[in-house]
Order: sequence, then structure tokens, then C-alpha cells
Amino acid sequence: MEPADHEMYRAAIHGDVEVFEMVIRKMSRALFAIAFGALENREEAEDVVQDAFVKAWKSRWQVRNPEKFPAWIAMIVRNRAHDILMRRRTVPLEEQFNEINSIQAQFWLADAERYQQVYAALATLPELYRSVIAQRYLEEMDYASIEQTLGLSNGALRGILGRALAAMRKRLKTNTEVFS
Amino acid sequence: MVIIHENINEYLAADLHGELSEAEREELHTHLMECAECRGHYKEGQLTHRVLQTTLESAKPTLGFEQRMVASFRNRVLNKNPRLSGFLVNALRLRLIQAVSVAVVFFALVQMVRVLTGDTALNQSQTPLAFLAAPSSGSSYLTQVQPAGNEPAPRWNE
Repeated sequence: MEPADHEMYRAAIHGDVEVFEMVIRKMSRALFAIAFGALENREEAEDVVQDAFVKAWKSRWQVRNPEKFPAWIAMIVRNRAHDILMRRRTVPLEEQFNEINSIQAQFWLADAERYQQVYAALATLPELYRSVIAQRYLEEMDYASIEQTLGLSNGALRGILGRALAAMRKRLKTNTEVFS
Repeated sequence: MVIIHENINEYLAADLHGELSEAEREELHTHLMECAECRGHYKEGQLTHRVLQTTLESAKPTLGFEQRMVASFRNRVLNKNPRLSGFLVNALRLRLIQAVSVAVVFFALVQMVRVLTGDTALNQSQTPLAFLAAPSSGSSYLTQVQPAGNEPAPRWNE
């Protein structure tokens, strides 16, 4: 972590509102990717990120080491997204996709079938894999940034992304439409 | 080369994401020329990579996302007595205050349990306020205000 980032997180933990807002600007897209990876719903992902920042502000005293601050907020987001996901489990997957399609139909109409298949494949992956894929493809974050956000080592991240892509490859391979 | 073959998924992903070192990249591509199985994985991996890129592209947050996050934070947190909450949060960072808070909560729980169970067996001298009831000499403050001997306490309507 760069000294400037370290200082920024330290000030945010100590309650500097302006610096905390800088942290929000810096981290919100990465956190959105994590939430979206878990929930696959843009509105819910935004709500989760908002809630996470409020919770982080209220319980920032729990963080002793500023270097762990990004990973700590990311953990809040993952837990919150997980809670929502658990509550949603009763809704059939098909209904969720129909909902997504109706909301974002104007963007997705042409490729609706492909999106549905890709998201269905993503939904079968473990949550951590989905978060990592979303951070890489949604926000185009490099490995170092993902490692910092999720508190992973380079080896662990490489392993996760390797397994995640391989799993996606196998699932999409059965769907010739997607690969064509 | 055996290492690359066994960990082909990691190498493929890192290569597609441009995260391999020059030496690793060279090793991987040499292996791909020799191994048809890994070459097949590589081609499928490239397709998967492209499919994910194009699919997740449209899911990016809309314009002004960061500003919405900041505005929501201000509405939900800063408009609610920031000085008091800021003071409380900063106070809670101190170990001493955390320890005192735990002690106070523990003491309150003990007192509550005593009241609920009607525990009177404990000697008065063991209570924290015992010095009020049992001074070293003479009558205490409490015994002065209580009626002496076995006389009944005066009733208000007499």
C-alpha cells in the first residue's frame, strides 16, 4: 500500500469526513463489483454499497490497522450481499432473470439469451469467485488492486481466477450459442 | 513444463489478464505449441474471456455513481448530529473506555441478577457503598436517620 493511501485510510478511521468521502469515491466501484458479483442485480448492489459505507463509518473504531481498511469494508459488502442472497434464495432463478430483463430490457434486448446464459453460469460459482470475476471484468481492476480489496495473496488470487474461468468455460461450452 | 500443464487454468487466466511476467509468458506459449490439450483450453479460455468482457460491460454502474454514494452517505450519516456520534465513535477507540464500558455493563448485569433473584445473603460490608452504613466509630449517617431501637416508624397519618 502506498503511503498516501495508508494516510488516507488512517484519517478516515479517525473520523475525517472529507477523507472518508474520498475513500467512498475511490472504493465504491470496486465494492459495487463485489456486490454485483454476488447479487447480479445493479439496484441491489448499489444499496449494499450504500449500507456498507454507513456501517463502516459507524463502526470504523473496530479497525486498528489502516492497511486492512479496504479489505474490512469489502468484507462488510460481502456479508451484506450474502444476507440478501440468502433471503432471496426462495425466489426461483428464472423469476430473477425475468426481473432483470424487464428492468434492463432496453440495453439487453438483442443479447438477452446470451446474458441469461452467462449469468446463469455465473450464479453457479461460489460467491468469492463471482466477486473476483466481477472486479476483473466489471471494473477492469488489476490483480494488485483486487488483492488489496479482498485481502488475498497473489497466489490465491491467481488460483481463484484460474478455477473461476475454467468453471465458466466448462459451463458455457455446453452452450454453443454463447460460444458462437 | 509439467508445472504449467498441471496449473494450466491459472496460467491461462493470468495470461488473458496480462498478469504474467515475460518469462512465464514465454514458458506458457512454448508449452502451448507442444500440448494440444492445453491449446484447446486456451482457445476456449479466450472465448470465455471475451464473452465475460462483453456481458459484464453493460452491468457497469451508471454515470454519477460515486456522487450518488457520497450523497447517500451525507444524507444518512452526516445530517444526524455528527458531533455527538463522532465523539462517541472516537471515544470508543480508546482501550480504557472500552474496558470501563465492559465493567459498567458487567456491574449492571450483576445488580440486575441480584434484584431478580432477591439475593440478600451478601453481607452489607461487601457492597461498594458499605462505608456509608458502617463507619469506624459512632453512629453512621444512615443509623441517624433511621428510628432507634424497636420503636415503630412514625406513620404519616398520626
